[in-house]
Amino acid sequence: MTQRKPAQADDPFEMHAQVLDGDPFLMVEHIIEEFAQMGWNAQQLARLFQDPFYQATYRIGVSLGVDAVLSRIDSVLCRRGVIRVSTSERKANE
Amino acid sequence: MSKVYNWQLGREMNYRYESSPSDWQFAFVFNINRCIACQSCTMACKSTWTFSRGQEDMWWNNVETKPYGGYPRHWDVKTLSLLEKANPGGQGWQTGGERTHERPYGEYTGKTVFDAAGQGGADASPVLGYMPTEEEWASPNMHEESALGPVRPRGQWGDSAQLPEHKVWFFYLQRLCNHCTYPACLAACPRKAIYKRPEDGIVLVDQERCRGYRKCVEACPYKKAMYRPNTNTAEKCVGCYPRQEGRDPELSPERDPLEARCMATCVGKIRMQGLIKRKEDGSWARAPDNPLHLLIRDRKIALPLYPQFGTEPNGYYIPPRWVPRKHLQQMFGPGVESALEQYSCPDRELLAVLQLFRVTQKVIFRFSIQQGPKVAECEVTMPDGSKKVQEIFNDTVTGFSKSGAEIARVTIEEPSFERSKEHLNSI
Repeated sequence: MTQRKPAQADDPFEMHAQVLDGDPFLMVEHIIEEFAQMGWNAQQLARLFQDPFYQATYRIGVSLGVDAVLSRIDSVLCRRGVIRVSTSERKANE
Repeated sequence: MSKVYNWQLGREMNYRYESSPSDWQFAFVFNINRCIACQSCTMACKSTWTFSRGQEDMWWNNVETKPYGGYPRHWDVKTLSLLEKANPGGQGWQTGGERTHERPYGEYTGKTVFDAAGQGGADASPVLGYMPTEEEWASPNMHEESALGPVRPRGQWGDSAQLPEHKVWFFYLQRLCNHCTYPACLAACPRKAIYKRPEDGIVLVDQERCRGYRKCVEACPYKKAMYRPNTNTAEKCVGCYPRQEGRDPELSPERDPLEARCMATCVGKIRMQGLIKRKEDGSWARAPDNPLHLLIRDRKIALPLYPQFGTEPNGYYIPPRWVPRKHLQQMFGPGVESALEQYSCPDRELLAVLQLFRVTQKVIFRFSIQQGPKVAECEVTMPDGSKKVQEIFNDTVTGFSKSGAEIARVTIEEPSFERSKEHLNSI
């Protein structure tokens, strides 16, 4: 594999990056709230951040660490609760 | 060029043809906050419409990772750059003044893809666009989040491959043809092979007339018209029109419209599709009890994607709460702040309507709410990180089909609270 040399400012083919603002913990908090609003409990939410199939939440889990995410789930569910709904759909032949 | 009114821009704009509004308009709302990119929508579309030879790289529905992903790659950045080049420093909004039903976000003062086109003389295309390369169409949503590390057993956490990556925030953007009111693909077609159905506003390609010139591929700013090499024609999302016509005898013996396949299979419950009644002049007929009308026009929490392109897209998005405002404002226009404020702490009507997402495959034309007592108060996180108290009511929302029959009913119940040892006494 080719060794990548350090970036140099006068290289026209060097990758350019833009710094973006943002707070990953705010993202975690919002995602937990969204799913709590759909009725997901602590166990289901923890799995959402552990299953590599769900790249977004899995990557958050990896980046922030398991303890940080589980602690967020705990605190959000404590103050937010899990919204419950009962749903009934009328089928075609009813 | 004709002058047509684009309510999303709050002004008239240039378009190749006269406005010829459909009776109803295919439209949809996606709640970005809840998408986990399971790609069920993508596969539902693929297995229904694009599984044949010549369609291998064709994904009418796709879910991409923002801010860096895209299908085709960098489609939005490229079109935004073209517009910026055509009108340097002039792409902006005038948000002062009165906001009305026909001017809900203020007035767009920049150039659309139609305004910015036609600078190359008589032969110039009526739409500003570009042709993506074959590489840009390949591998949608592959490694957009990060380079994958080894797959681990369930429950085991670890690092991925070590490559430069963006760790601050990202979100998934779900995309299909917006069945625009002023389609760029239709305006650019030299064969007049693209048309908008008068009954539901779905934009289709007449495969008999199409000669594969690919002007539609070049013109569509959302890059949702695609070329099929073995038939030498363009193809695009057909809005699952047989389902809109209620032609599924199994699911809809009453012939009520059904939602498109990508909508009906959404396990994350982020999608709602409907049909919007239009008046003769093309404006939306007022329908405060239609869930899409409520979310898009009354409450304005669902916003058009890149309205500045000028095609008046009929796909609307509830923006992600955690993304910096400047990024969202470029993507969804100036309505972002108000949308997020309302969505983060929804009142009882909004909370009830949000429960209607994915409770039925049938298109919901009308809803009613039966009010119940207040059952709880919960603390929610607002977009700026502050906390606010949300009231929860034991309300029941009912959805009705086109024929007026009840199709679904959802009751909001008292929330349940789980408290760990650390939070036992935190009531």
